[in-house]
Amino acid sequence: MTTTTSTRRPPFDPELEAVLGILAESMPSSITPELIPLMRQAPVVATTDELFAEYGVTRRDLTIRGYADDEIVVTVLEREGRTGTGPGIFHTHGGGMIIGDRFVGIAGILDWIVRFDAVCVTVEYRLAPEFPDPYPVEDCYAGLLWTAEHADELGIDLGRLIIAGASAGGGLAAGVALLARDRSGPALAGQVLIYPMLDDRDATVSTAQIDGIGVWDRTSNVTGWSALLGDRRATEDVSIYAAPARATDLSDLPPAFIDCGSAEVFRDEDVAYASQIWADGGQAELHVWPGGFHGFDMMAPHAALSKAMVEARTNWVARILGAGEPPLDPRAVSLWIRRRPN
Amino acid sequence: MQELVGRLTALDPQASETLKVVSYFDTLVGGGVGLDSLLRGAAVLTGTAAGYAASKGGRSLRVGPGGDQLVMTDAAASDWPSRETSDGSRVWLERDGAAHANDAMVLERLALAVAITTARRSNTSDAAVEVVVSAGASSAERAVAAAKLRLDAAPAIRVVVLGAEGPSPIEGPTSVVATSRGLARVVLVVGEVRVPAGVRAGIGVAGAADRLPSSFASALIALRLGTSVEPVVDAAELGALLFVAEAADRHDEPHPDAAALAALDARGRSVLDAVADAGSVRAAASDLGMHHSSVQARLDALAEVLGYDPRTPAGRTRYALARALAALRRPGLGLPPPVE
Repeated sequence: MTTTTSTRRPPFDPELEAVLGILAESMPSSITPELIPLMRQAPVVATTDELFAEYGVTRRDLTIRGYADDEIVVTVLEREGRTGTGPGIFHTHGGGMIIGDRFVGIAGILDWIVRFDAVCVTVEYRLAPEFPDPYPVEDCYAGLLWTAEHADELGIDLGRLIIAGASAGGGLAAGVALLARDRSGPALAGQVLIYPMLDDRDATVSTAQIDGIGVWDRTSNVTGWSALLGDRRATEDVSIYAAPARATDLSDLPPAFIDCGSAEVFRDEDVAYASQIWADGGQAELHVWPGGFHGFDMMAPHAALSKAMVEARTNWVARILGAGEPPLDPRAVSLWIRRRPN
Repeated sequence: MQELVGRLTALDPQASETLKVVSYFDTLVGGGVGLDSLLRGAAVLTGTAAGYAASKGGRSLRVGPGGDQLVMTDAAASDWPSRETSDGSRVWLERDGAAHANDAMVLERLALAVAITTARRSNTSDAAVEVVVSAGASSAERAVAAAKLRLDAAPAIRVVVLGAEGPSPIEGPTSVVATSRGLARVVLVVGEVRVPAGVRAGIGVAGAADRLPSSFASALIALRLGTSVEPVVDAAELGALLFVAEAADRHDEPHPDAAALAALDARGRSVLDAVADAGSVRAAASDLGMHHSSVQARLDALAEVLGYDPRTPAGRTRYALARALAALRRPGLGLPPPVE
């Protein structure tokens, strides 16, 4: 059974709680800085190439220019034999800003690649603490730029390019969407923020509730943010691109899909982000899953709640991509590329 | 973090993890999940398909290791490692080859979890009946239970109380409940109460669902007042006797009149009862097969013992009340012992 804390918190869904009991040993709730190397060594999800083969998806690794003109890697994923132009998904992986690679969380995206005949570009951004803010978000933005610039070759309809990420990847996706707004491009049709990590300040009710239990608890969160921001964490000196929860103006952003569990650290910042979007006249769909811990859909995919969570996400993407504008006039696209800053 | 997890939920085939398995199913049962969740849990934990078949060809279910429901096959449960539950249904794991270290424990705990869950589900109306007549339950709880039984809007419901043995002889939501005087069967009846001949029953006063605890209390008193001669007693016909009985129940010591009756021999009791039931000494003598003057003589003697004469109007009332209170003092619900 999970240990109880003195702060009352929403209960876990029983199907999910049962899984937590099994996983508790192999997955500490509290990740401290010393654990980072160990966590980086942990076996990642089912060998990725097997997974791609299962889905009939091909993989191409390319080197592009990242932040500060350094070389970084992206991988292009699409259905074998795909031709023509269709939706694009730019993927920013999760891992608390400190661990993981561009294939973490890719299974859910593979489903969309096949279902919507989309092309996915997933970026290997550099991790903190070795590469602190702004490396991660700027590497991601560079990857998105590259994607938009090469849309023709990639077969991506620039009117149907979405950004998607989970956990830290969700925070990065939100940060990149803000950069894209403030740098006048690339245009995004939507942002899928999956239990996003948005707020470095560790000051919400849910951060206090999820302490020493569940997955990615308060301590882990402080570890991740501190690795990214160093001493700047929870000070005035944090940009909205690093911590999107800091943004006071969320107008003129692409429609957002935000989901989370009711029993995770990110609950309150995720709800607040959606509320701010609405306050600023924007579009957002928010789902808070009762009794869900962080990342429960990946850890307990068999559970009824997990299936509901994934289905809601997929439905939203289907609506966004289905209702998309017809492909942009190629001349307008090249005009935009010539006009963009730097 | 989700990124660290592969297929960690399937247990190591070699390592025995009894505590984890027990805790896993305890969490599911504690959370009140349904059968499909239990099977999903078992399938994911073992990495094989898990199946369930209710006893007597009822519901059946197969779930794959990814948690998806599978089509039922013709393969018998007995083809796989399986376990029978306490209610006669069966659960199994579709393990090919050698059993994994935790298969047996998973089956055992799954079987237990299934039995508990099935019992909970089928007892829903039992539990609701108990709640709805219970003075100890809050009015909110009772309202919810009444709604479950679809009795919340019924204008006049009566509680009927009978012996606990055997199935209910009357139509209506029913449960066996524990009372301070033993187990009783409770039936909630809307409309006419039809009790089969010879069956002892107490019928409570009519009222809406929120008055069911009073109806229950009156039904218990009515049942306890019954006899083999008058097996069915309706509380609505007791008049003030109900009031008197409630008062007597609040005292530990018997009323002296009731104690006096209890001290009499069977012959004396039958004479008194005959006079009370027949309404006159002459009719009573006829019923008893005794001579009228013998009965009169008996009554004279009894009046000395009792301290009042049951042939006078006041005495008649006093005797009727004493008789009722004596009946109420019989042990338990005043029912004859069950026949073997």
